[in-house]
Amino acid sequence: MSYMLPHLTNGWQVDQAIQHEEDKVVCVRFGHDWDPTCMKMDETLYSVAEKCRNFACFYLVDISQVPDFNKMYELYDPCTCMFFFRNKHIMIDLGTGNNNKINWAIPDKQEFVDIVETVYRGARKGRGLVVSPKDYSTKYQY
Amino acid sequence: MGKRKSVSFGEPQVKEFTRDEVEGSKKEDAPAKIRRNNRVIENTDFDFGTADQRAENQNFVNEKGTRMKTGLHTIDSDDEEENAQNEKKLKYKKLDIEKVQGLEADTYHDNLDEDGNMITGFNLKDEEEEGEFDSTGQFHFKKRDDRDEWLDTVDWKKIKNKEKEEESTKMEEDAKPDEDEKLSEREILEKIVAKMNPKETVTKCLQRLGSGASASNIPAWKQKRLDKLAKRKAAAKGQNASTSKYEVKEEVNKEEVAQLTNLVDQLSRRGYYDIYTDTYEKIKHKISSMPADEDDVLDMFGEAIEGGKSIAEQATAEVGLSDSDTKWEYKFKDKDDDIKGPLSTQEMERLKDTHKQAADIFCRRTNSGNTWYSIKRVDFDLW
Repeated sequence: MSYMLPHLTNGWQVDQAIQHEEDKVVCVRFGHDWDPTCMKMDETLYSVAEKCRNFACFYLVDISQVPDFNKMYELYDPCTCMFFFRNKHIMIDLGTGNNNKINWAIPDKQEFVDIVETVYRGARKGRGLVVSPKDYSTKYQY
Repeated sequence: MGKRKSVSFGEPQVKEFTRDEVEGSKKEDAPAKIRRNNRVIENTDFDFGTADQRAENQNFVNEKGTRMKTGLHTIDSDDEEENAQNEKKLKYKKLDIEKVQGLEADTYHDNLDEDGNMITGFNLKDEEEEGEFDSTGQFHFKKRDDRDEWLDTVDWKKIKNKEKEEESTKMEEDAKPDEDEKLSEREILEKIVAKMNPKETVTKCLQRLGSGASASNIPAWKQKRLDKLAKRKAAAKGQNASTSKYEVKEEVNKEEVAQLTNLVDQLSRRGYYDIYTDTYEKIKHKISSMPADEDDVLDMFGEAIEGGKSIAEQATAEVGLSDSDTKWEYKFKDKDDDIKGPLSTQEMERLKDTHKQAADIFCRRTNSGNTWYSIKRVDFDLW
């Protein structure tokens, strides 16, 4: 479903997308369109994009095409999702120990919508760190 | 990347990037205005600094503003160079022409060569008139003295003030565009439809309205006859003010035509090029098929931002939830069928704080799907 979402093809575009969104959460998926993990994530992203359009926008970035952020954001995973609000990176306590990003695919739409909404609500209240409603630490993986 | 770059993942607090900061820095970097040609030079400091200093300046801009290359031009214009030279008043030792060897006296005007051309004497007299040489042989032009009586009488301060005034009034005008410009497509279409008759295209409507207005196009003799007819009719009915009524109607028609063309023009500016050929029914269909007013949504957002709280409601309304009536259902981990609630957010928060085995309670918002979340992880402050 990657072809249904807007791609950012250079560092400048990524910057602008993040900086110029005034009242929405910007969710950026870093990865490759052909990557199976990304494919799963993109499917979720695409299906929730319409539902969340009032408070979030979603962009895809190919980390081979745009390597500018790889070092800064430590983009070494096949698929990484990060959230920004008013040019500020919003961290999420996912229970995984890495609060900076979601570096796996979330196939459950409702779960993802809830995360995005929590990020939006938290960010609007000035929080730099929000708690994801679901704990993704291994003890909950059945 | 600006601000974000400086923040490493280790730090939880990120300094917010405020708009004022950006604008402030932009103002600082704006070059001072200099009027050169009419000799009002306010900022006489033409010290551009060394290349390194310039590069530093550039970095400063980039750090505060954007990451992209902005800042000074790499090539200085000749104009600036010339001015800088004038300002600095380079001191040099004047060359004593007397000491220059090998100068010839001026040739006489009747001293012509074989072809009848005048031969210029080998000396520096002409050059002396235009400027002077320094001791190294470098020629320096005299400062051009292009004083102008009229130009000296001009009060530049006054003009500058006026310029500022004009600018500010222009800005005000820009700030509040025509009311019509703010109309959404839907509103414009509705207004157009109100003026049209069924089965009419916009063009035909314009013609119909215009035919009344352009009565003057009718030949004079016909006009006279029409007027007479109208008068006679009015007399028959016992009214005598019909001619003035006719004129009033004409005026109204003219106004309507103007309004309609204005509306249509706005639409075509927004990309509705086929609006002229659209019929009454087609436009009506278009209006009804417009789901929600996009511009309206934006407007509401704009107001909501000022209003503060309501924006969240606006946003979440789409998801089917709003702050005021968020209700929660909860259940205990081991009792899947026994769903309790609905409770308000405050009640849920109390439950979370007071219940001993809060970790065992799972909750979800009503109508938000089937996903249950541990009550411990849900941040009720946000709702």
